[in-house]
Amino acid sequence: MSQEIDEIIKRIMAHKGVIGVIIVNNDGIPLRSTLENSQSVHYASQIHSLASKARGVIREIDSSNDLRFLRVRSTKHEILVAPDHDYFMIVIQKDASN
Amino acid sequence: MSTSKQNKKLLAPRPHDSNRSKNASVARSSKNNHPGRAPAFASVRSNVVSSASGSKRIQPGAPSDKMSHQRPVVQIFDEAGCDVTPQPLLHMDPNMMKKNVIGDSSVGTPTDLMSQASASIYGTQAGTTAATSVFGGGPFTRSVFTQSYDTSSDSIPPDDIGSPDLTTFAEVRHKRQEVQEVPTEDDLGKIVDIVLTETDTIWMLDLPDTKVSKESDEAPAAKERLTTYAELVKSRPGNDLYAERGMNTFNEPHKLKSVVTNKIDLNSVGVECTNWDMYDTYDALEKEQKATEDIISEQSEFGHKSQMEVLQEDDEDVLSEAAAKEEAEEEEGTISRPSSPKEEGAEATTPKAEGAVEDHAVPKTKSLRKPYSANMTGRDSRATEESSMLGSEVQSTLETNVELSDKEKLTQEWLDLSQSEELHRHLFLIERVINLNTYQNKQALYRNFKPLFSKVRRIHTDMQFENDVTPESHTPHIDRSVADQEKASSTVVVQDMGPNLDRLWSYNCTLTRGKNVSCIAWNKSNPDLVAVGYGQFEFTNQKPGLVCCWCIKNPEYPERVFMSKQGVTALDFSTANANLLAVGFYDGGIAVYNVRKSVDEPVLDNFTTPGKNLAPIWQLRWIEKERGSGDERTEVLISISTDGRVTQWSIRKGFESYDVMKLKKMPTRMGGRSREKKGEAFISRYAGGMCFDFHNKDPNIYIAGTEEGYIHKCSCSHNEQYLESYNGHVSPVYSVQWSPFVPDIFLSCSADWTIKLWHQDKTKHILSFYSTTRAVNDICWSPWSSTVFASVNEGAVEVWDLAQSTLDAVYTLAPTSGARQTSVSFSKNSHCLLVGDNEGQVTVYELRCMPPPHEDQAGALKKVIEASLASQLPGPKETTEEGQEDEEDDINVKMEESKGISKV
Repeated sequence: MSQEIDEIIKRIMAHKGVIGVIIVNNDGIPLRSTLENSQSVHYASQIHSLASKARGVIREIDSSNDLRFLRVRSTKHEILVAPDHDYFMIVIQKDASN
Repeated sequence: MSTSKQNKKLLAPRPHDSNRSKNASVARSSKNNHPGRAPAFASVRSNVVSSASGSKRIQPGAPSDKMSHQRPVVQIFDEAGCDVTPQPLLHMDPNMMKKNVIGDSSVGTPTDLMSQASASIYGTQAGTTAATSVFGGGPFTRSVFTQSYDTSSDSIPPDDIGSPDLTTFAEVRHKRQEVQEVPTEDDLGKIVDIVLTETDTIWMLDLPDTKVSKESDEAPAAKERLTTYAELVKSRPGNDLYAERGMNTFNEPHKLKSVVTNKIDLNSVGVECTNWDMYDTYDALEKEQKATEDIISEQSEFGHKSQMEVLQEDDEDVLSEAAAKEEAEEEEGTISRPSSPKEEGAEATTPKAEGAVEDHAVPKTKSLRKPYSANMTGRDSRATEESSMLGSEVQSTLETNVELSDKEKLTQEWLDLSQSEELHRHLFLIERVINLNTYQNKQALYRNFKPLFSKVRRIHTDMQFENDVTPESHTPHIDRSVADQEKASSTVVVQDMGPNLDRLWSYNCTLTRGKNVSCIAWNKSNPDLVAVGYGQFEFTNQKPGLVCCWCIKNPEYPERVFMSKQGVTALDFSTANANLLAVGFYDGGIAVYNVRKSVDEPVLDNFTTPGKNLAPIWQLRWIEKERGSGDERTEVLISISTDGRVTQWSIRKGFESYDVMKLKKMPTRMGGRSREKKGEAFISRYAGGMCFDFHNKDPNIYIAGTEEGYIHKCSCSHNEQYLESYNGHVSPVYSVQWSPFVPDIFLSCSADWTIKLWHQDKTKHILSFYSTTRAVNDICWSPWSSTVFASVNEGAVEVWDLAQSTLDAVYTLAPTSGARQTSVSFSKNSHCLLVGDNEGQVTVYELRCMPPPHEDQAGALKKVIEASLASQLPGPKETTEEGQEDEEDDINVKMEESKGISKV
């Protein structure tokens, strides 16, 4: 199972435009990251609060609902966040048209 | 202090004795006057105050001498006659006193005077010496003064004011006390700022009203109370029960006591209560209740009735319930090991439960306990749905948490996480999303949506945008998406071109590189899923085979990969069970895979079955056949291979085979001659079968193409004879396909560079299509337009539209990669074409700008056929004699056709 996961991460990294993949646990510590540590921690802390807020929004409106995926598109990148109870998965992908 | 006092006392000069005596007289008088008066200091005070008015001290009966240090000396004697005069606590420094006397005539506050008085009283004997002041301020001196005064005997005269020289004994005190200024005339004219403030309201008693609704249960009682009270108020004035009386409260003296503590740490704890918090808690409660019910049902099997009763208690009493459950668990833990995982598995997320099952008994109960404790506290709102998951994680961390550094903890956490399916699912999702980002436009085109354009880019880079539009837009990489839909100007240009193929993307990955695509099959229930088989056609170049299931959502990596030792030559998805994929191999084996699972093993295979085909299987089809008895239809697998057998496989019990047909070799017929060649030693009596296709309407009839070039129409009920044979091709027929619109028409392609259109009643082909000198590997009818089909020869992809032209392909595309195209298939739900080549790439092309299909598809095709038939020389009959003539004619026609066609 873990080899598959490693394989998938490798594929994701090899994909066009992907800058980095970060998997963070709930304390904000990056478990796996392809960026350097300071950057990872930076992203992790910011995304954590954003994702929690987003989850709060979804659940506040309908409690049986839950946040599945979050995409933040900016002019330079797109940040994809897959949140879960124990961890966050963050992928930063560059805009392909640039 | 006292010691110092003693010392100083010895040094005190004599003249103080006079003071003492003076004091004594005063004291006595005062004492006599007020023997039992406790607050004797008051008198002192009054005296002191009175003396404050003037600079001189007025003492009853005691002359005050300003400059003299003389004082009536107070001497107290007890019964025994001993001198028990209390020594002064404070000794004045005569120098200081002098200084004070001269410099400062102001008297200050009463406290000051009192302190002076105290100084005077106590400092008489010593007089000159001054001890350091004990106390810091006025009020303190007073209190101590009284205290000390009380402790000392009453005879001490409170009001020995003495000389002013002793009054101000501490300079310190002066500094602290305010100097009273005498306002001058000028001051009256000054503007003085007066600030008026209001102090905060001090609430002594606050009895807020309580309001009771008229309809509530308490209303009548409240009303009664009100009425009784009103009556009471009324009756109060003259009532004996109530009397006016004044009260005075004692002001108890305050006692100060200091205690030393550790610093009290204050922590702020905030809890945010949100809708989903509450939802989660209730959810957990419900799950708990379910769990208890399960436990109850479990235990009833084992006869633990006592716990049942306990468990069936009031649910609101959570504590008791939790306690009972814990008890139940412990009991349960000893007896039924397998049952508890079941319950947990029932509600908790499956992977976590599985993880939990493997653990020991004690942590097991702990994990079950977790939801209860969570519920009990009610505060931990997150530990609800996956509470058991937390439990199992707690277990794992407990086991490994013993002495782990942070880094190790993290790696452990990562290992645990990487085992979880959740992570896998998320990664899968992310991969798809990333692919979406890159391929979004293409996928939109696939689905026939208009691609999105970035508004910003348009504004800024109009020039670039213009440049992007190329007339031959084989690969137009359109801009990435945001928001607005705008019509691309490029489509306008393209529309003028006529039908064309637009390359969207290609399925390939490292696994498939270099492999030859041998077949493409679409999934019947999910038209986005396509299975591609990879295997070499040539005998000499055999490589291990591969089957990949691709989905348009992820063009970078296949969803499923099935490896095999032999090259794959045929594929088909089942209709009845859309998850079954049948794979035919180069060695004649057939395997059935279940694509639902990613396990790389076939569900069924016939490698060891005796009826296995002995030569490569070139085509596989799942056919629904009617069973002998009723209307039931079972699906069977039909295969055709080079060993000449058309075999039917049923998968009901293992793999059962049944030869539907053995393709016998036709007697060879050369053009013009009808002699049978005798005496030829055939290697095999059977002709190798290359392809077949079952009739759309009649599952009994099928056509099969052979290696010799013949196409035979066969029936499942006759397994020895052909119903019809079609002769036209001179080399192996690679593919035959019935037209999806007109039931009697079928198309065939072969290695003799031609594609032929047939009518099932005519042994001669109706139309023949010839474009290049390359073998046509595959053909496919278009599912939307009856007159359109695509063909693939070794160098190019061609799209034919019979309504437009029967001589030429409407569009030809020669891929730049130079690979040989091997297979083609139309997509069922999109205007796209999939073309496989021998490099392992399956490219998706969008067929654009085709003329819209006719309403009457069948009619359109028939019209074409009639037109072409009419153009042919007359006299086509179905008998063989005439067939010869027809053949000749046919050849002539063919030559004419070939002359008229320009080579592409």
